Amino acid sequence: MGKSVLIVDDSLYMRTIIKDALEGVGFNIVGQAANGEEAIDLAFELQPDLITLDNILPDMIGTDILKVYQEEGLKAKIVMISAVGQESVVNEGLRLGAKAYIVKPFTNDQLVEAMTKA
Amino acid sequence: MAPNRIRTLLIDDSAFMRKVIGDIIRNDETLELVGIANDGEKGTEMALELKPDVVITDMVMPEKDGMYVVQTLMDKYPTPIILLSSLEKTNARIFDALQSGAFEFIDKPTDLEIVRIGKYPLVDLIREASRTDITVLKAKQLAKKNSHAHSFSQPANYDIIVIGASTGGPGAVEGLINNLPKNLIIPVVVVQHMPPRFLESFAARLTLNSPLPVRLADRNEPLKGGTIYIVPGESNTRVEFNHSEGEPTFVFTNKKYNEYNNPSIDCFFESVAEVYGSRSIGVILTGMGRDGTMGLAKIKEKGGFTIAQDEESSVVYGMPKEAFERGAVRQVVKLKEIPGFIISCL
Repeated sequence: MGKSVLIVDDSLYMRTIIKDALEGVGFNIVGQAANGEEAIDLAFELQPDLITLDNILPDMIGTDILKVYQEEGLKAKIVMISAVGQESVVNEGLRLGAKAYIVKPFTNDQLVEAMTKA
Repeated sequence: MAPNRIRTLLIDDSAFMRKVIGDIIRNDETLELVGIANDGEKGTEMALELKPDVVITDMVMPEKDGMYVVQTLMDKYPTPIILLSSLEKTNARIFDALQSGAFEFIDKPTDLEIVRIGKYPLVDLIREASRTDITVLKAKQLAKKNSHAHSFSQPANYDIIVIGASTGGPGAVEGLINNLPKNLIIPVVVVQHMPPRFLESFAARLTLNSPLPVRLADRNEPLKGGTIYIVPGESNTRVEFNHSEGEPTFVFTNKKYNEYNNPSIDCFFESVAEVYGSRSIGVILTGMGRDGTMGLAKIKEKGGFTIAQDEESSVVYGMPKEAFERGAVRQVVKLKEIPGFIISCL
C-alpha cells in the first residue's frame, strides 16, 4: 500500500485533481479537508504519512495550521501549495516544518515530485 | 516504385467518389492504393486482411457506415481513419466517430477543378494520419470527469481562457471543457478549425456533457463569464472592447491571416492579447500547421499565461510544436491535465 495522504484544499475541484494525480501513482488518499478546522481534526485522527496543504482556506491560512501541527507534534510530512508571488509564505511554511512546496499552477509531475521529495 | 509508400484503403459506396478519391491516391507517388470497397463491412474485412497504413472511409453508407468501420477497426486493428463527409449529408455522428478514434474528417471535393490543380488537401491529411501515434487515437477520451465546483480567488487572476485547435481538436476540446468546474466565472472561447457548417453541430455536441453552456459566438455579442463560446467559421472572429457598453464583444472581420482563415486562431488570439493583455490564458491544442503561434506569442508578450498540449497526447503535434519552438509557450501540459492546470492558475 502506498503512503497515506490527507488533502487540504477548499476547492472540491482541486481536491479531485490532486486526488486523481496522486492515486494514479500509488498514493493512498485517506481523507480530504475543506477548511482549517477539518485540516487539524483529520490530521490527528487519520495520522497520514503526508498532507498537501493549500495556503488559503476560508477560516485559516496554511501557516497557522502548520503552527498547530508543530505545537501538537504531528508526524505527517507537509507539502505546501501556494500561489505565485507568495514566496514569503513558502519560506515561513518551510520554517514551520513543511518539507516541500509547490506553486500554482502545477502539473501532475511537479506535484508528485514534491510529494516524493517530502 | 518508391519504397515505403503509404498503403491506403478506400471505402465509399459512390462509384464516382471511388474514382475521384482513388485517382488522387493513385496519382501521388508517395501513396499506394491497396484496396477499394463499396461498403463498410467489406471495407473493414479488407482492412483486417490487408493491414493498410491509413483507411479513408465515407461516413454515410446504406448498410455498414463509417461509424461501423471506426468502431470495428479501432477494436480489432487500430488504424488511422480519415472520414469523408458530404455537403448534403452533414451528420453529427462525425463527432461520435472522431471520439471513437477516427483521425479526422474531410469534405468530399465538390469542385473537381480544386482536385485538378492540387488544392484538395487529402494527400497531406493522409501523410499526417500515417505518422500519428495510434495509441493516442485509441485513448482519445478522458477517463474521468471532474466538473466539481472550484473556490475562486476574488477576483480571479485571469479574465478569459482561449483555446485554439485543429486536427484532433474536436475530441481534445470536448475532453477539456467537460473537465472544467461547473461554477467557472470567466468566459472560454474555442477556435476550432472545421468546415463552417459543422461548427454548429460541434457546439451542440459539446453541450451534451459540458458542465457549462456552450454556444456559437454571435456578432456583437458580449462575452459572459461561465459560458463556452465556439467561434463560427463564416469569417474570422475578434474580440473588441465596446466602449458604449463597457464590455468586450465578438466582432467578425474579413481580414485574412497567413496560416488559416475562417476561423483563424491567430486573429482571435491577437485580439485577446490587445483587449485582455496579462489577464488572458491561451491554450494551443493538437493540429496540423502553424496557426495560433503568432497569436499565442502576443498573449505571452502581454504577460498572459500560455499553454501548449504535449507531444505524447497530441493527435498531430504540429501547432503546439511550432508554438513551443517559437518561444510562445510558458508551460507544456498533457491534455488530461490542462483543465486542472488552467483552474489552478485562477
